[in-house]
Amino acid sequence: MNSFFPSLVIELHNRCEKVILLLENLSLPSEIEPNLKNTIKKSIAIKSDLESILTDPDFGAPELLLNQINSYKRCYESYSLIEKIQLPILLRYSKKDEFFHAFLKYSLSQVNYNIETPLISAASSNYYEVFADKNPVLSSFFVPVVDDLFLLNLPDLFHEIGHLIFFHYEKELSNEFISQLNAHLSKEKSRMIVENRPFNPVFYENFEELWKESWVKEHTSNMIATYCLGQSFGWQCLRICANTGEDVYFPAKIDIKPDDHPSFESQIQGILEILKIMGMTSASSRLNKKWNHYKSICHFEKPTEHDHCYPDHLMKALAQNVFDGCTTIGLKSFISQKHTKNEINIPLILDEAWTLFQTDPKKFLTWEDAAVKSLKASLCKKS
Amino acid sequence: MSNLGVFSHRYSSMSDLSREINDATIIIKKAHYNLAGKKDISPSQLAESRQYLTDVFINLMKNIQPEIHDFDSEIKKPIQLPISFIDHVKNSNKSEMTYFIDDLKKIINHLEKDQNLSLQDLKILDKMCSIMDEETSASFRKFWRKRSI
Repeated sequence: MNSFFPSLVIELHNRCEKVILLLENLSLPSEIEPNLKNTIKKSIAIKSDLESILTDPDFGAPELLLNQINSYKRCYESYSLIEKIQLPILLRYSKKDEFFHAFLKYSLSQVNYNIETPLISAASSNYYEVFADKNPVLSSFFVPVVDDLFLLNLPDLFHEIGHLIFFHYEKELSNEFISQLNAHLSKEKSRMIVENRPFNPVFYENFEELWKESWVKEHTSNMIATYCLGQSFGWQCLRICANTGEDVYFPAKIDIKPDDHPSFESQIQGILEILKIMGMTSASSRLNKKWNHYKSICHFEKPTEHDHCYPDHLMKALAQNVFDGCTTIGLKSFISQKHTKNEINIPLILDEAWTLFQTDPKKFLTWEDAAVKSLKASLCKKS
Repeated sequence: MSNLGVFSHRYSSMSDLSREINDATIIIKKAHYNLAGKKDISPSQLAESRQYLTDVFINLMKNIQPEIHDFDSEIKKPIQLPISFIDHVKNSNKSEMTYFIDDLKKIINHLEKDQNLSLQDLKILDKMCSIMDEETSASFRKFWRKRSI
């Protein structure tokens, strides 16, 4: 390893140099200059970290080799993320990306999340997703390749925006909830002992890890999207569920750790909660009615474990925490968007799209074409 | 929907923590072994590294054994340790937890009082760096595989 390790560091340093050169020679539209500059800056920082390893007077000292290899690995991972995330977007920046950049920029300002616009690529093979970075301008969104032609999926972009907001405001959005989650866990564990019930430690370990590491993030992102868009996010969630055919109560048995996503049933319950807190009770009832109807058609059966995984009082606590957090951060809710007279009002356009889609599907198709054209023209004019 | 949002958040906090623990350990070890680079370490850098690692170990101990009584060191700065890291530490010391807790108390004491580190202290430091590194790499690999399909 002693002779192999320096070669690894030197080779990665060379890669960084080449990538920096490649990026410096790119000619891109002015709106993504900050993204390009920051990607170069990050690549230079990695290169500099590698130089620090190479020029360390103790480079290769047996006492430090383990730690130096660890430092190298973190550099490699950082470089690798640039190569996989930012670099392909910058190298293949297209007209579609340009439209989505304008759309994202406008959406962020409309919900009053004032950050420099992250990168966005309209070439996702993995539906909507976001790579969240501490530096917002290095964060990167991915959207499906034809979604500049349609409206109904767009609420999912707000779910990804929710992830980014959570990344930067975790305390405001979930601290109170985490205290309640911890209290719930202690109470449940004591109850098992007092009532002499069979205690399954794996369930509680997985419950804690899933909630803290994944579910709180997914639910919060849903709730932020609902806070900004109102019911249209809920309708889109129902549509995704119908399209994928997933059992709405999966996962409920968490003795074996499942995937990161919470069940659709709990997601819809979270959305309904936040709609109620926002005072949108009739929207919440409409969504609940359709959701129950969908479940009854598909004959999904609720396992008893479901309520243990997603306790009702915790869902309510999280919704309240997210609502309070959104207010503290200063995000604009759907209710306040309703009263603004912007030339482009994305939450209202999506709300109208979802209403028309359900009331008059045929009319919706022609309306959607015109709305997309008008949205593109207005955003083009603005940028 | 993918879980890239969750991954990136998780990886970012793991990677930051892994770097911080590793960097502080490098400084402590350079000073301890009197290596050539020791001359470039300022007293404040050394003190900060000691304090940082003290906080990491106190946080770790309180997570492993929340009901611990015979221990009066206070955390100067709360550090959020990932659950997977805590579980990994617990599992790798399962059969000798009492001894491990004793070792943690000793290293905290040595770091806090600016005393010389023992061979066992240094072993623990390296072990913690390795576990944090393994967890960070595992989190990174998950992402790597997902995006390589």
